[in-house]
Amino acid sequence: MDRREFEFLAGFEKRMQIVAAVDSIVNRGNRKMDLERLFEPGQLDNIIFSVLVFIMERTLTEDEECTIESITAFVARIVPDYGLSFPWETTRKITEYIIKDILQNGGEARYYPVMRYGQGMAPIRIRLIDDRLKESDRGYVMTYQLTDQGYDLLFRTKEVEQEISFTMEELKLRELIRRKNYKKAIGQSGNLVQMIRQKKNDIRQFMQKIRENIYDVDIQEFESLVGSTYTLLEEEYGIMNEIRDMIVLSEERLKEEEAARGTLDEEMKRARSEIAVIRRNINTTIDEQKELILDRHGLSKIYKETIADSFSLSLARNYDFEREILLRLENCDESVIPSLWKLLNPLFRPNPDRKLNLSSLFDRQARLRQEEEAAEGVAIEELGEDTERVRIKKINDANTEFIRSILEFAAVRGAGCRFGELFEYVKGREGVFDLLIADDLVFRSMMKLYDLSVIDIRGWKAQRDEVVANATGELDVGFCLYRIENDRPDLYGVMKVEIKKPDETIFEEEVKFRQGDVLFSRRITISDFMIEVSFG
Amino acid sequence: MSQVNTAVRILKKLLDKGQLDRETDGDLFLEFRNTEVRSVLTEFEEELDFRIVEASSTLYLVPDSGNSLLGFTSKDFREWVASDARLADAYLLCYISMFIFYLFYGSRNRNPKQREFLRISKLIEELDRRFAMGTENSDRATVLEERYAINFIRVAELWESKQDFEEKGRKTKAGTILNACRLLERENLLRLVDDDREIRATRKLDDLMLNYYLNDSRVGEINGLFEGGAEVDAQD
Repeated sequence: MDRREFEFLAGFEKRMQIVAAVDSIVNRGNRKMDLERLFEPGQLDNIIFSVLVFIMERTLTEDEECTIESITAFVARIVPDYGLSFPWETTRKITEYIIKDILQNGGEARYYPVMRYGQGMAPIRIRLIDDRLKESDRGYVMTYQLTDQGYDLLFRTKEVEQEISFTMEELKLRELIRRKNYKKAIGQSGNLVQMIRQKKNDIRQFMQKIRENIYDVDIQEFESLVGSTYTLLEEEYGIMNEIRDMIVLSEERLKEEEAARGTLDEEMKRARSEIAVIRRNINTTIDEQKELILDRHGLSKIYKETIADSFSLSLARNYDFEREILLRLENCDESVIPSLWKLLNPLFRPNPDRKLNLSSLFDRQARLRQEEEAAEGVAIEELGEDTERVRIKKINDANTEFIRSILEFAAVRGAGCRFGELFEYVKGREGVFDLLIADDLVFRSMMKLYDLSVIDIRGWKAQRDEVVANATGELDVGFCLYRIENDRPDLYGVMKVEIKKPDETIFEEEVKFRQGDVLFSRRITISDFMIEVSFG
Repeated sequence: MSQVNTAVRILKKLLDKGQLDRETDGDLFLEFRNTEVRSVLTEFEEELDFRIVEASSTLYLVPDSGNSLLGFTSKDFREWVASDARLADAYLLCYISMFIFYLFYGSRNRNPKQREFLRISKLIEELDRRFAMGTENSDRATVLEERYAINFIRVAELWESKQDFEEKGRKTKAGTILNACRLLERENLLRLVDDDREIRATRKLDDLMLNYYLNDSRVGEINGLFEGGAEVDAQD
């Protein structure tokens, strides 16, 4: 095609962007017919556009945050105009449907094919609203705002003056003040505040876009935003200062008049309050302009750095996730299943503490034990059993018996004891001692208790809600108490246990145990902790 | 301060938090670009089996997939499911996690990220569809069933045996998904919002996916995992 012949098609894609935006609403995907059926033809389209205008007004004019609750309240206010009435819950569902399923397309990116004459068809992404997640006291709060595309669509449907340059708006304002038409000037100055806030939003969204994903950023978009907007802003910053001077002058004249006449008539009083509003708006505009001018350098820096950083990234290719991971997971060899955690490992936080912590010092024979279990585990897994589950259950049982021994021994003595005394008492409990001595469990659990320092049974009774079986085999006092309470609801009358180390007394023990035909023996040395108890 | 000291400070921060942000640790972030500091860190990377991934404004410590010293282990993984978890449960947890990543980053466009958020109800629908697809090919199902005691068909049956959503108990589909999501949330990869009805990727997940995880150069490593996982894992 000879493009000189059809120059009127230059920039055609801009026109189609509007069509694409309208299409995303009118030919919406993710239709939920149970909600669509509540409306007559066209009603929901009107409501969706009204919601977009509401978001714009809320974020620009009032500079307030727009949440799903505030949008629901708005929808509830306008549906009676359509002759409709819904309970609050339904209104909330309709609002969520409009925001999440229609305007955000269920979270999925929506594309529309657009012709760029000379370059061919290319999909453009349509996103009319954007959301932001904020952490608050009540958890995460989601707020919504229009994207550039959203603003573009709305301004083109009504706010045509947006097409007039910002400077024209300022000139109008200057003229209005010169002619002392303060009432109109208030509206005009309000427009300026609204426009500057929109620019501010543009910049912030753009910065966020760069930070989130450089692939979504268009170099032309960046250049037009940084190149033109800021030059204009700097000029405007000067003009706005002039306007502020004019306002100050008007106020001074009013003061002079008041001093000369001794009083102001109604009209003059109104003018004075109108001037105050204009001054406030002008000051807001100037402040925000200043902030934006300063932001420019930040934006350029972020953009350039991100571009530089992503240069090598753009050369790298991505693999096909479905083919390389999902399909292979679906056909994977049974022997690979125990290693699947490796897929997630690179994404998880490093956790050196688990391996390089203090308790590992007390875990002198751990490596031997792990090797033995790994070999045994494979054999048993082939039979469909799970050794891990059995091992953890055993440890949980042993820990429960250890805590029970502390409570029981305290109840028998009516007082606290040293760890050495407790150890002797445990030795006498048939079936329990072997459990506790295996893998030095009693010593490791004692260390854990010393770390906790207090078992507040009274507090536990008052606030426990849900008890979940301990999944890790680590000492979980709450779980142990829960199990002891099953057969001893009074928990031996003990209300609090405190573990202290009052001195450097050492407890030493030669521990003997048998594995298969071999008898092992080793010497354990541990602080002789003081276990203090208090009763109800 | 010597380059080694600086490198150790960076490593310490990375080991502690898993990441180092330009916003909060601007000086250390810049020092990372110092070639001498970088070369000390490269030695740490080689010796301790991890790599430092640099995204736009954050450095991340990424353990190599088989690194159980700094990273996760098979045991941790299964324990997350439940104390009585079986291998099939761990398999399902892994599959759900990967499927979530696929729904977020599975696009073949220049930008692999294809969605901003994912509703739990939608995820259940998609998983239902995927498991049904996996089992409807009866020839493939027979082969899998014959060859392996634990296979995708069994995992699909395990999924189907769970009650439908609404309830969040562990034995429901929603509960199973939430369990996977909570693990990913704990690792700062996802956020559960809107009263646990919606999930969103965090900046960390975006950064790691776009700067490292999806990179074509990892295909060999992934192949190795699926082909030789058993032998490697026996050492864990």
